[in-house]
Amino acid sequence: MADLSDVQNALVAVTAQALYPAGTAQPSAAGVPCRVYAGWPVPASLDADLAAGITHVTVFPRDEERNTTRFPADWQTLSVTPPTLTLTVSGQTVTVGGAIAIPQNAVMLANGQPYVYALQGGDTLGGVATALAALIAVDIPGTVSSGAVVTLPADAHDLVARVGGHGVSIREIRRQVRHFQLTVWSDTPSHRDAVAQPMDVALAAMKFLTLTDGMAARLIYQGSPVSDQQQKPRLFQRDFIYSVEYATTQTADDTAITQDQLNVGVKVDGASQYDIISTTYY
Amino acid sequence: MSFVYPRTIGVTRPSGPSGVGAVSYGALLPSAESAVASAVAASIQQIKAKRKLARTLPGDAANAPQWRIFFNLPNGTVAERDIITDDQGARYQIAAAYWTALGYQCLCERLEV
Repeated sequence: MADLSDVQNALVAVTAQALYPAGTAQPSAAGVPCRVYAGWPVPASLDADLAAGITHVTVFPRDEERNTTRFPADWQTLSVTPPTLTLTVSGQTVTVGGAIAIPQNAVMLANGQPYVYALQGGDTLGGVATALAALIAVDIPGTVSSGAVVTLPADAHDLVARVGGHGVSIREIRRQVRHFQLTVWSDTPSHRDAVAQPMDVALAAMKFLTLTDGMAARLIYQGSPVSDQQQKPRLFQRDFIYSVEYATTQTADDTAITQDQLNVGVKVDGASQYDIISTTYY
Repeated sequence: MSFVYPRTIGVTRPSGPSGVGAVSYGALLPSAESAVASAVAASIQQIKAKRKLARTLPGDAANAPQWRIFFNLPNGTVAERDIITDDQGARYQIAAAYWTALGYQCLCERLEV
């Protein structure tokens, strides 16, 4: 899910990249050391750093906020992890192959009935075959496993094998516009300007921030007040105010559907419930 | 414990994020404080409660007292904004670290909600 802190961290990352395009092992684009972080400076540290010519850039959400929720909260697929396990049917045998990874479901249909085994951490291919054979043998005696191969008796029919993977769904449950303040704290006006310029260009060029949940947040410039009011204690400031419209999202783990169940029922006139007369699995 | 200095305090110094580029969250966190002095005999005395609390809870007293904390350490050991923690766990921020030949006489504000 995306939260206020995710936006804050994304702004910190964008600013740090603008100031250190070649990495923090190289000098900053401004030519002065810069610390970029969410939150507020610790006064004693800021005093010491200003004396040492180190500039701070802080990112903090301001109080201005507006609810802009306007989209349906429908679930959408965010990611799908394909199965790594394989089940191969050949005649009356099923061979378990591939690689073990969780969560996955190994599924067999035999004689019209489903048998589902959820893989466990520490499973082996042979262990999966043994587990499936044990599930099937309850209804179809004579089902055995040997190594990674499950063998069903000759009268077992309609053998189908499937592996179900998993995925993640996401939905937008709220949307808001929040103002964020990025403040440059420098010891001289020239250092402040040297730090502010690459920040300004990088932020102005960026229309959308990508957040940790994969959603994009709209970035709009609101203003950039400059302050020399604290020049007596050697502090020169410039703020960048940006509005960020971002979605609060909710994610859910999904399991792939591996079989459908069809119930056919009848209802006696006047009765309140249907009576199921047959169930078919596909 | 002595008659003059009946209490015991420790002094720590807040520090902000270090390094360059994107660094950790900036805030006054006890976990980011470094020790300056510990187990120092001290006298903690309340002075007039004239300071309004920055934000009061409904059940709070209206005013917060300031405190003078006396202890004997060499000049330059502590500084404004250092944190004093007393033997009962209360934390104070040093607003003025005044040193004389008799030791420190620090004007402090208690760090409380």
